[in-house]
Amino acid sequence: MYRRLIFTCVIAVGIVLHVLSLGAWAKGEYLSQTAFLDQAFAGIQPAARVCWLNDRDKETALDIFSHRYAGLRVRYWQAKEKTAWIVDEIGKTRPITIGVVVTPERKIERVRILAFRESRGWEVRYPAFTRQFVGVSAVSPGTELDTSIDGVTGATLSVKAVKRVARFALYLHERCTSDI
Amino acid sequence: MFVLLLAVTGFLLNHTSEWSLDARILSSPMLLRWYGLESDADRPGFSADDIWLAQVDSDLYMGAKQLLSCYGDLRGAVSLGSDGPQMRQSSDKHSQQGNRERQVAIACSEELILVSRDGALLERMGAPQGLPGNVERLGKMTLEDGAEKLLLAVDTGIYWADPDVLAWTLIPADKITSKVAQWSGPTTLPEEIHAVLSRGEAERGITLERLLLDIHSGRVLGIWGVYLVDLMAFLFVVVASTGIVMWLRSGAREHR
Repeated sequence: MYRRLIFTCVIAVGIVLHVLSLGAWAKGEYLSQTAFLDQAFAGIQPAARVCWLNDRDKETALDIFSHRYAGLRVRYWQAKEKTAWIVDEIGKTRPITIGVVVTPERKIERVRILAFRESRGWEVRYPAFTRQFVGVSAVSPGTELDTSIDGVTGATLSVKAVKRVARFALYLHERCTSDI
Repeated sequence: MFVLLLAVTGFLLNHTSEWSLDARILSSPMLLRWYGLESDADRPGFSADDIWLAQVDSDLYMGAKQLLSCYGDLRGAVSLGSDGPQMRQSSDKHSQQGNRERQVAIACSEELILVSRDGALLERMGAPQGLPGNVERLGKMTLEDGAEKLLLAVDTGIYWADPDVLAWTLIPADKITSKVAQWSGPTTLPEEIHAVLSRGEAERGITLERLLLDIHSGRVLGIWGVYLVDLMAFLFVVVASTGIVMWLRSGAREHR
């Protein structure tokens, strides 16, 4: 009787500790900048460039993010007409570092989560979520994505953050590559 | 005693709003020292030309103006973008727009932040944005051809970058001599800036609600306090479970 009770207690404590540790386990850096760019440009990493934001860009960023974009320039990489962007956006309280690759046809080729710093919502890094963005474009630069993205239960804010960054990357691709 | 402590703090926490415990600020020097919030009389600053940078907790200050928070301890600050030819040679049209004014590079141990001289954020770079490691020192040097380079000493070596900070290159340590490299080092803040930062600090404190929460969770004793509360909670579960079993057994015996 006692042995069974002790066994049940140990299992219960084990489950609680496992669930608690999942948050810390899921936080961290998943992909380095180099690895992301290697994937995006098949191992030949182009030189970094910066796109300086003008007043119109800042207004568009405000419309997309619903807050002022923190920074006057955005770093990107370009080979021919394909671009890769790395942008931080806050999910709930801490920034998520999100990488987006945009094709010459102005469609998203891939979305990757490079770093996640919050304890909840890390499921957005799974391919099951990020592959929904492949081939997605914007109706027009800065507007909503032309395809509906399914959410992830318990990761609503992270999902919204990734969608905002995807929109911003599509806008920046159009704006920063069109007048080179 | 432990149960009493949990019960009293739990009871008070249930009524923080009604009794305004979340608005009562405790600023006893002993308590602030316990929380590591005592005023840092010897707070160092870093100067980038005529601009002073300092850190209070995680917040960065440019002069007396609060800029933003940064990850890690402040390691240095340098002013960039003088008339070095490297800036003028940039072929990227978008990069050239950045040449309009000089900028200040600020290094905390986990990120590099670029701001304009009036404090507007240009960009922040952590490891995911290509920062090569944990920053130990920040500096700059001017090459023989007049080109200016930003120097970054990290745990894996010394790197340099052009003033637009688009790419880092690992360089041999012997290429950096004390004659050409100017490393940013901590120095005493001017009295008027120190006074402003200290004034801001003095206005802070701990709310009574925070103290109660930390006592209730054990966090007031640090991580070991949390483990202690965890252990006690585990013991309560065991005591309650064994109590139920004993009660059920005694009931069964009475039936017989």
